[in-house]
Amino acid sequence: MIILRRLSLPARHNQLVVFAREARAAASEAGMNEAEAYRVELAVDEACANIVDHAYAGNPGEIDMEIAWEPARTFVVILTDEGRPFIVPDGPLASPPKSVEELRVGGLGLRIIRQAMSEARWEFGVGAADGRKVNRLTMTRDLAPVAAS
Amino acid sequence: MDSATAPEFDNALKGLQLEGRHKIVLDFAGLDYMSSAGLRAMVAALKEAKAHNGGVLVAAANDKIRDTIALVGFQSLFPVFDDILEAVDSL
Repeated sequence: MIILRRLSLPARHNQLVVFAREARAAASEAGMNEAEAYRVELAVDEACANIVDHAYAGNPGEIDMEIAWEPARTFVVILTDEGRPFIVPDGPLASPPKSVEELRVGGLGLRIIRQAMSEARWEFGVGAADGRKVNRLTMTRDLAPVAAS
Repeated sequence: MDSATAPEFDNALKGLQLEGRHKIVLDFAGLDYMSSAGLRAMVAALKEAKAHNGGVLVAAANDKIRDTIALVGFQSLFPVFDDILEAVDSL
């Protein structure tokens, strides 16, 4: 795997644009087209917003982002924080709302993450290499193999 | 529009609706990014508008904004019009 980015910034809403834009740039470097890279940008934005709102919940902290790439196979974004664990609903996504009455504001970010990426896996309270207990979100995006020329 | 900037959008929509304006066209020309924070403001505005026989439509959104709306399955609830006058006429 080739490391494309490593970034640590304060977990604040006004910093999320930096994570998101770096992720989009890395996705472009990995060969994604503009629409695909935009979806990666969205997923990273949503995932970081969840960390700010739910893991740190108003408390100071940092988000670490590492982006790696296996050419023509996988693009991986790993977000790490030291906030509190929070509940991530699993199972299949609910059907989209068909009426205004069915509209809900909750869960939109999670839906975007799951739709934009091939896989998203949350782990809470896991041991980092330096001994810290962290939360870790690993988002992967499968890449189409490059056709042989 | 992300979680840092969407509150301003949300406040603007709430301000309009407090004035009794419930037929709203969102002119998204020039908007090149929108996360779920913007969608949440749109959902709140649509619910309030519908409660007053109004509506919220989107005009001039680029492909990325359309994609954000489609990712959460809101295409049928927030029709996107190419032209703002076309959207106004349909309200």
